[in-house]
Amino acid sequence: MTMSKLTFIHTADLHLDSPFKGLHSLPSSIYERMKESTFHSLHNIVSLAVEKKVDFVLIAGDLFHSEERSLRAQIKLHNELIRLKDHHIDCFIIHGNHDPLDGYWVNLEWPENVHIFGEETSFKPYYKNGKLMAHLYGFSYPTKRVTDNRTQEYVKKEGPDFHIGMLHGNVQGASDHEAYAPFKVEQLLEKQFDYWALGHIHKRQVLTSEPPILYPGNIQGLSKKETGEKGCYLVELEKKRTRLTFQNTAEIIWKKVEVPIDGLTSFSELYSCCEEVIEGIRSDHYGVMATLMFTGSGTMDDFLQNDQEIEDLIVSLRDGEERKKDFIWIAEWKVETNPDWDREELKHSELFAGDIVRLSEQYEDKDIDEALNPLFHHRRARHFISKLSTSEKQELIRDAEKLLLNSLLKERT
Amino acid sequence: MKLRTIHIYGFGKFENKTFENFSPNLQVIYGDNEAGKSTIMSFIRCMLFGFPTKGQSEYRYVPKTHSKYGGKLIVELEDGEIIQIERTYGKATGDVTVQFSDGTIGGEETLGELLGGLDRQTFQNIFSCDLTGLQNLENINEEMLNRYLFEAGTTGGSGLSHVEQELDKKLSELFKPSGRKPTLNQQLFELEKVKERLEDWKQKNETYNNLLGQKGKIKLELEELYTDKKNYEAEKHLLEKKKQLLPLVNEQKSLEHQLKELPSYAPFPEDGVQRLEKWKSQIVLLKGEWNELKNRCSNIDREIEDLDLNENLLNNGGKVEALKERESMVQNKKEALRSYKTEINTLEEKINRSIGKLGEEWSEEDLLETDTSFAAKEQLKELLSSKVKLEQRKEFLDHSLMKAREELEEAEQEGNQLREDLLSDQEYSEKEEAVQKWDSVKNREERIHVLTREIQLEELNRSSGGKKESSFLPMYLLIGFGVISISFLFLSGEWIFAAVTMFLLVLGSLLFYKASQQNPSVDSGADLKALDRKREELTRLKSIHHKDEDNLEQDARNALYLLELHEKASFQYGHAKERIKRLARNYDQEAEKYDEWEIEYHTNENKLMAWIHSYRFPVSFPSASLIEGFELIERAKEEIKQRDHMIKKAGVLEEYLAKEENELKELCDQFAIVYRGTDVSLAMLWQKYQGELDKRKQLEYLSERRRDVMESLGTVEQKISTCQSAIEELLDEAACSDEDSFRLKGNTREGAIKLQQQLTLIKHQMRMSGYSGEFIKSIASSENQTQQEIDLQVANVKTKLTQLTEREKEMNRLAAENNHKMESLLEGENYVDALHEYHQSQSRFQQGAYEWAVYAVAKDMLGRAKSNYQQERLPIVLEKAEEYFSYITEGKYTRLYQPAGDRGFTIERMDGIVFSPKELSRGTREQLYLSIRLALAGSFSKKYPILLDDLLVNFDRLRSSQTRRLIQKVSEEHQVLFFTCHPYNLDSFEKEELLHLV
Repeated sequence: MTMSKLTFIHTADLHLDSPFKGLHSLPSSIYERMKESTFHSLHNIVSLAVEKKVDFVLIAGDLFHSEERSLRAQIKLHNELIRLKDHHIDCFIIHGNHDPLDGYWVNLEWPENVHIFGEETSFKPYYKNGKLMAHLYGFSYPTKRVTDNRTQEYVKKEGPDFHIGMLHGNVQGASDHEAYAPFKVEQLLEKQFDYWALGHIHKRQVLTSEPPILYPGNIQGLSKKETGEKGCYLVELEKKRTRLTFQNTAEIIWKKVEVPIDGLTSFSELYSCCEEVIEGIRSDHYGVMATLMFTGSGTMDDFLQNDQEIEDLIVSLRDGEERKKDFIWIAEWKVETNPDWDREELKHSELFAGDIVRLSEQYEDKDIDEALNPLFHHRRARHFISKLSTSEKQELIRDAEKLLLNSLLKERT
Repeated sequence: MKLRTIHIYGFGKFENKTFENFSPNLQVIYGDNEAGKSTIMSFIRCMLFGFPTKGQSEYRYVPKTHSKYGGKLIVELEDGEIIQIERTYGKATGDVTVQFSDGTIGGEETLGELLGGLDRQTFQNIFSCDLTGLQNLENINEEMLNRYLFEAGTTGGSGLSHVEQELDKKLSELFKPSGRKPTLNQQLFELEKVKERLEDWKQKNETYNNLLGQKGKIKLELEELYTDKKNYEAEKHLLEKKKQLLPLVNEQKSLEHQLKELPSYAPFPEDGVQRLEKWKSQIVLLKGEWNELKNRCSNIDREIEDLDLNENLLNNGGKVEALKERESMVQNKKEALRSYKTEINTLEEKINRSIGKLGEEWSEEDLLETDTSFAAKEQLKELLSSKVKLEQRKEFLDHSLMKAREELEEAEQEGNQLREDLLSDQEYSEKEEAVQKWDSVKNREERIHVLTREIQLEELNRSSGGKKESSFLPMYLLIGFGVISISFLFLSGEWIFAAVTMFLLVLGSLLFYKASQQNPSVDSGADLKALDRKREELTRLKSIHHKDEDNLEQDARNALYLLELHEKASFQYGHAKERIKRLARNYDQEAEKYDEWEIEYHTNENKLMAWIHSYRFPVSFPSASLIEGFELIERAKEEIKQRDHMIKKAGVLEEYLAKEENELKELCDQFAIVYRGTDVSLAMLWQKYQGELDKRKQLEYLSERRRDVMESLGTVEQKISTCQSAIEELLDEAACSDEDSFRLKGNTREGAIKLQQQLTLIKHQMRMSGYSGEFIKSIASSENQTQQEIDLQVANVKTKLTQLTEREKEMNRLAAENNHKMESLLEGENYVDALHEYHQSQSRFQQGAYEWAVYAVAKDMLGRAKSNYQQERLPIVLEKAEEYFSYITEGKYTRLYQPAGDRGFTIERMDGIVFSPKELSRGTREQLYLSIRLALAGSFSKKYPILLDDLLVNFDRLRSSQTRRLIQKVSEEHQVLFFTCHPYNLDSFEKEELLHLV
């Protein structure tokens, strides 16, 4: 008897045709690539599946970005699934909070190699060469909001060698994500499955490796926060050992890089420093959306405090990138250099600036709301402004304080 | 910051002056007026804040006596570091150098930093004041106080208000709640538009599912429709077949029935009825023709009758035609007659004219009788020409005669003249004698000369031997002379002399020759003798010399000349005589000729006269015009003859013409034509004759036609009888008694044949329709179904089919529409585009919003900090001021209230009464302001030196000492430079605190 083995790809959070956050004023060539990037990544995943002759592909929810999924996304997905079918690769799909069953759906006829879980938790058998190889368990979100723990619905049905759970939900403790279908790792471990294909959290993370319980992350970074390589896991599952290989499939990667200004004394030095940093992250395989962080301290700090000057710098750094395949596009920059003043000292000084520091420490959320009211609660504007998160609010206060101290304490020029 | 040393290079009255070791606490500077207190205060200000520029009102203290402007301050900073601030003359506010203890050097900026943003105005208001400066505080209000407070609290950087302004500016640039221009407003506007588009697309996407459902339904219905249609089509086909065959079947039945019912129709000739009809119609046609011909015949007869031919005229046709033929000839003759008559008239006139010319005595008869033969004419011509010739000769003869006479007379005259020129005979002999005398003289001299010569030659010969030649010399000379003389004589006409001379000469020469011939025979002796003879002769000759020899020569010469003249004249005279003789003879001859002419002339005249007579010309007729007259007569005779000839010819013509006219008149009478002259009558007669000729032709033509018609009538009658017999034959063949029964029988037969043909055709059609015999039989047997019934059924089926087709069309259209809609939804990246665009726009907006938020929060924080600061700090300052004021007034005034709005400070006295500063006495007021000022100065984080310039002038003793004490107390923390010119102020200060300016 040969050792039973399954080879499959685990992916999730395709967010096909999802728009990007925090991007604007892109040159058209890059904009077009960004628009296509989720599809490219999916295509690469399918190509990988074909190339590796996997048994099946698991997609653990959030295939689309919202309940109002675009037709194009559905058709492209459909085409990719057909490709899998052409290579006799099955595909198991659950839907998540971003593409629940009640969402807008085109009645596309999925090819027969595609198995979609319904809203009730159930299992589906997988046969390889006529032999039952695995049971796959899972459910799709009937609506957007599934906030209860559904782990007890997963009931192991004996039979095949392998049992694989698919779950789109939030592992307890992950604060940044909305708590959909929450679960605890222990609860999953109790099930004694051979693999847990999770979805929902965009950041790739392996919760446990024995058995593998993991988030493959999304397949394409969608904002500056989703940095680093994105793709899928190629899983070779055996009873005795399991091999997990992460494969980047994204063609555009978000990166955050630091530009320390220490010791820089002129614009040209600053410029070459930036160039050096940029060239350091250039890759043959993908384009990069970069966030530049100016850090350290030095004489170029003054320069960086001037919005116009810094914007000119960025424009010249961007120049020509739109024509490169391996572009580095500076999507954002942040001046995080150390100020001249000692904040702690100021806090205890009797100077007016001290009052500012002291005040900013006591500045409350309601103060912010009050200050931002004219725009953030503006009849028309409010629809387009998302609420500030706690961390954003903190950042806002720091930025405002910095602005004030800069104005008050910097020498007159 | 504490002042330690002041070093003035040049400023106001000071030059290179140093004030050292200033107290870190209180430094009193005492000096009289003009000692330089204010100068020092200004110097300090200038060192710190720069020299006043020329535009500013403040006094600049530029040294008047020396050139170096500026100086330096040595200052101790809060942390104890000693630095040096030097300012010298330079651009604008001067060149400043700040030197730190570690040797580093800075400029204006560093100084500004050290002063923590303190400006000159604030320094002057708070830290450096005199009495007037104190008064400035009088109008202090809340805002100003706050400003001082914030300036006291900020160290460097932009002024607060500047920061606030910047924030406001940024905020309004980014967003205004109801603006359009600011960045965020614009972006918002765009964002809304994109959003709208996006919503649009969402809506469209939702329709996709509906469309898909629709599509399925349509497909299903289409399939159903297809099946239904097919069934109906089959039914329709069957019905149509039935419909097609049914009439054929019915027809067959009916035909068979009709055939049975028909009566007998044999025997009957083939095409009998047609043939009968043919003959019948033939007869009708022929009868018509017969009538027509008959009719025509009678017409022709009538026409012939109507013609009314004039036979008589036609019989006389020859005459008429002859007349007509001659018409042009008659015309010509008339013309000729007219011209003859004209000519006769002309000739008559000519004859009369000729007679007129010849003279009245001439008559025509005379003329005719006159001989004008050619011979007569020639004779006349000859006579006349002789006459002319004779007349011409007379003229010539006259002339010759006259000329001969003239010449003769002339010659006679000339002869007479010449005779007069001749010498008389006596004269002549005298002259000849004179000449002979001279000649002898001359001969002697000649001899002398010759002899001399001969002698010489002889002598010479003797000595030389030759003497032949010399003997000839005289002969030669003689000959020469003779020749000359002869020629001369000849030339002068002296023929006789010449002849004589010549004779002499020849004689002389002969002699001489003889002599010389004998000489050679003479021997020398002889010669000597001859010579001697000669010498003798010579001597003798020489002795004969006439005294009047010279006169002789003269006379001889004259005589010779006259002789010559005479010779000449006599010669001419001889000539003249000869000539006269000749001329006289000539004259006689001429005269003879004249006589001969005269005789000849008369003879001719007589002959002419005889001619005139014989030819009957009048004698008066001038002979010169004879020829002309002769010719005139000749012509006139010719003309008369011509005229008579013409008259004769005219007579012949007239006769002819009369005959013609008569003939014409006769004919006209005969045929009743009124005679109107030859031309017209002839024309009328001719016309009438032509008319009769035409009628005759017409008659001939009509007769011809009548003959033809009669012939045709015979033929037609024959044809008619042929047809009638053919009809009889037909009736016999069909065994019919009359035509009607024949026809009936014929028709019956016709009908039967037709029916049989139809039957055959139908059978054929049924065979050709391709339906089986059974099917046809089934139709034939189901007699209950009528055509209408089938039609109705077909119509029903058709309606059904049309409905189905319509429905199908509609469904197809819907399907196409549906598909199109679906395709456009699938194809369109529009939704995705809009989605991405929306997110881009939103991102940009969000980022802008964040930027705005930073400014908004910053502004809010600044506002809060400001009010916090005021709330916290102002009370402290006020409390301090209150404390100072209370101290100076020794507790008389207890409370100080902060200004609010435009209202200034208020003060509460110990008894609770409240005052405004204006209500206080001047001194007290000054004390109040000093207190506030000191309190404010104390509130500054940086302790700048306080400069006080004689503030205590208006203070009473007690309060001024209290003040001094206060100042001393303040100076413990805050360096104070106290300037005064009043020695009493010095009492309470320590000695070491004092700087005395001299």
